[in-house]
Amino acid sequence: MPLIEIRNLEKIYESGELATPALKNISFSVEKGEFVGIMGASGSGKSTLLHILGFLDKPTSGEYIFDGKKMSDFSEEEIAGLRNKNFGFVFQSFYLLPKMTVLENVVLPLIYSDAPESEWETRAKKAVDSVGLTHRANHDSAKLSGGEKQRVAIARALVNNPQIIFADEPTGNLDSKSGQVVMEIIQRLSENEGRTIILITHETYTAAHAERVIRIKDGAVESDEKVAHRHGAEEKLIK
Amino acid sequence: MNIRHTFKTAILGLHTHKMRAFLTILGIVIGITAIILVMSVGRGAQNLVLAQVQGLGSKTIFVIPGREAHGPSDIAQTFSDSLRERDLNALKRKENVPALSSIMPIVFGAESASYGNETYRPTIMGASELVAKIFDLYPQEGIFFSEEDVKFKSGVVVIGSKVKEKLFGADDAVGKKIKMKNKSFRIIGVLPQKGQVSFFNFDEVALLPYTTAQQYIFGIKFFHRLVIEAASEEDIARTVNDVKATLRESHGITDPTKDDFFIETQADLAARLSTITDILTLLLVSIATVSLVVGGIGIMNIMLVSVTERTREIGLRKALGATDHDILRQFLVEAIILTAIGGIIGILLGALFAFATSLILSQVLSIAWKFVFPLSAVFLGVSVSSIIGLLFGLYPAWEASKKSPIEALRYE
Repeated sequence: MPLIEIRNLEKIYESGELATPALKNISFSVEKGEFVGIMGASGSGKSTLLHILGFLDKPTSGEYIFDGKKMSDFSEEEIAGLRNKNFGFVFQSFYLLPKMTVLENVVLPLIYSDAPESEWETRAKKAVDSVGLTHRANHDSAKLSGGEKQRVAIARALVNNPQIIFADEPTGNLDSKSGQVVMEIIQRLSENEGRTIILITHETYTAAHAERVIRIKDGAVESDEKVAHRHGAEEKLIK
Repeated sequence: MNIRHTFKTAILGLHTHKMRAFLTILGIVIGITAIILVMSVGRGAQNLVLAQVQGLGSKTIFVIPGREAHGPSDIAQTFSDSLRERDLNALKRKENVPALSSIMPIVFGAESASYGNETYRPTIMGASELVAKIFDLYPQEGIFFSEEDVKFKSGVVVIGSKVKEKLFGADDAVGKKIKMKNKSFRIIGVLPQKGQVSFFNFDEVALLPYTTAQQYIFGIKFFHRLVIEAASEEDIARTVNDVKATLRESHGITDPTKDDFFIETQADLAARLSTITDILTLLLVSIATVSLVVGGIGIMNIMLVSVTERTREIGLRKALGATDHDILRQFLVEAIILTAIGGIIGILLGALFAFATSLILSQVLSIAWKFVFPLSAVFLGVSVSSIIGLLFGLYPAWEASKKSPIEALRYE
């Protein structure tokens, strides 16, 4: 059974009389542990697709079956729980809460979970360690560099040990060197920890880190194929 | 999310905009301050008035001639000559009113008094020698009139401090004679300055034996009041009934609705005055409440701005697993914390102002005012402000909780 299965997914934005289709008749599935890149130009609908996959948005029509259960069968409470425990989000603009330290930002998903409070700090520290920011744990998050901020965001996404990481243009606001570090971490999450990764990007180079790339054009799937020459952020990672 | 973290998150949210939070609660602070001040001062005024009434003793019963006035058209009924010497004698008999400890008739009015070229119009009060004990009156110079003076209609008078000053200035008054109604009265005592006692200003009084006042000044044979003291507070109800029965018998009245007298106890008076001060306090509290509502609207306004400003934070929290309920609670708690802090500051300021008021009244204006800080005011202050926070915070918090995570994250 695939972890993610979508059938004839459509999303239409309606504003007044005007209906703008953002996604047209999209179907594909993602297996557990897969690293899928979704590629498309700006306005192609790739972000809308990611939001629907991450239960942040709802399709106009079509079916989304997550882990064997239809999206329409999830209650609001269950959806919040899904976002909290099963999904980890990494956004282009990081979305850290300023005036909070790195550790406080990383703890955030835990306060909405049922994890015992005694574990919070240990788990947050572990997540911060895993992105190599141990020395920054108690820094004000607003004072970090872009690359560091994105690594904090990844630590935050990982703290609840999610099955899937949704990354929306994670390197979009970073210089290429910082972007490289972030991609290394994401690839490691896939290769070493077996997490399912859905990566949105408009860059062919970044998409080539994935095992499989789905190209979206004007809201429809243009191609869906394995990456022939996979790009290893760290050569030794790719077997 | 547990309650502790809801509070932590809310406090963090407020901490981010300290100046704004402070300005937001100002309306609540002012409203609560006003309520506390009004309640404290109102209670103080009530205590003051009650203390004056109780200065007469809680065992005191007044018998008033005529019918109790129930409206403006009844006024004529309140002037009556129904209480006379025979009533006094009937009430004095132990078999009629066993629990009566003392009884004193009173007549009063105003009359010009002169000494040489000086003239003053004092309040004339005719009473028995018991008036000294009942109103705690001890002459500063001279003596008080005696039972014999009452019996023999002696032409003696005890005057208040202001009467003495107006007629004699700094000179001695005791032994001198003043003229009232073309008759001479010998001053045997001068009262110390006393101010208002109950409803009577004893500084402006000329006190005479009631028999003297009845015959030589007013030319009447009835009394304006009978002041009765019961043996104890427990005896009041019984004494009131005995007095009524005795007077009805003496006046030949069988139908109680045709009574030509009525009775007022200190308790009645105290209750009536309490009602008046209660109503005044309530009125002022309601006015202060209006400012609280205005403060509440201010809170709502700022909370709505805050929700809009923090749209992205709300979206992020939802993406990280916050439920609508979590978000609602967070913003609601923020509003309640804001108003509760406003309430606490208001209580402190209100107490401070009330204390300052009591200091001014007692120290500067020498009124026997005591600072009272009713606990009910604290309770009211905190609960009202929290309820305001809850009420006016609910809508913004609901708005926040209903934001779609994706719209919220896209918000720039």
